Amino acid sequence: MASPPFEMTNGVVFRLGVRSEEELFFAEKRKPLVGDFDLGSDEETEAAAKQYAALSAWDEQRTTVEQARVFLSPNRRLPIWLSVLEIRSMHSLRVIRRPHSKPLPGREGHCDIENVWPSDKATFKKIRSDLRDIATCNRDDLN
Amino acid sequence: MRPSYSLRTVTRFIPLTSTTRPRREYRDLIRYWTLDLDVHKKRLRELRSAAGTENSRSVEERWQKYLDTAAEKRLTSEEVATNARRCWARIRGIAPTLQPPDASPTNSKGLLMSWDMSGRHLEVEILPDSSYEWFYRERIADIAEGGEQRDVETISEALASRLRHLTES
Repeated sequence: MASPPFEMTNGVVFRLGVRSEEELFFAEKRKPLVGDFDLGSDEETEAAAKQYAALSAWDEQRTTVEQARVFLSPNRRLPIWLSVLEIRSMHSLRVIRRPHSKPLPGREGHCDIENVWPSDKATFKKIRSDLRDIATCNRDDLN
Repeated sequence: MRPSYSLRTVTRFIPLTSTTRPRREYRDLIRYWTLDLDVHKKRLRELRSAAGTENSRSVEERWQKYLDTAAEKRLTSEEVATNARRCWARIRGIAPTLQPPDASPTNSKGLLMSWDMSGRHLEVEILPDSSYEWFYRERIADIAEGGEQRDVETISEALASRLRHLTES
């Protein structure tokens, strides 16, 4: 039986960007891009209507990167790491651990970064840019 | 025959300054003698400069290739790729030292170009209808500014100012 939703207050989560690495262009090295925090097109329409949207992430204590990739396709995506404490310090973001609906290994670590679309697209862009700013491709940066 | 001193021994006995020279028999032990440093520094500068130019060229080439093949790979349309190229040319005219952007396709088949430098973030999203949106952000100073233009070759003064600011050291 899946655990009930739980608000995380610390720890580290990772996100697998929306796109595979082959679709991206990096001028120098691989790094988090704002595009990694994009919503899907349906999600964006829904976000504008409901003034609410969340981004998926994974609790590193409960899900491995390989497990998380199985939930998504195509699965060659760059993991980017974020500190929950830093996420919570910005805007009104919250990280809720909410098990994935697919009954696969690692589902317990699925999280939603909530409130990324509090009002309009301009605010979403600001939040998306700020999330990119605190994200890193190197897990060791958060130690 | 070479003296049986280690380099560590020699450097401990003879400080490497421009006013002291080790005796001839020690010189072979020191690969870069101080009097030659200017030559080495000059050569190093030349090599770094050449590497920098080569690197810029290769980034530009990779960027152009990415745009050239974006439509073929179905990342975006030919028109958006062309508009991104035109917009980049205009941006380069305003900020000549700016390197090509990082980029990713968007859900609407547009192209999102972005630059991140020293806590400054600028993004320019080329939209499928030939217009574009831009957004500038400095998180620490809580600065956010943006706008949109109908034509990719029109750069507003606000965007031009942010572009120049982005490349300031």
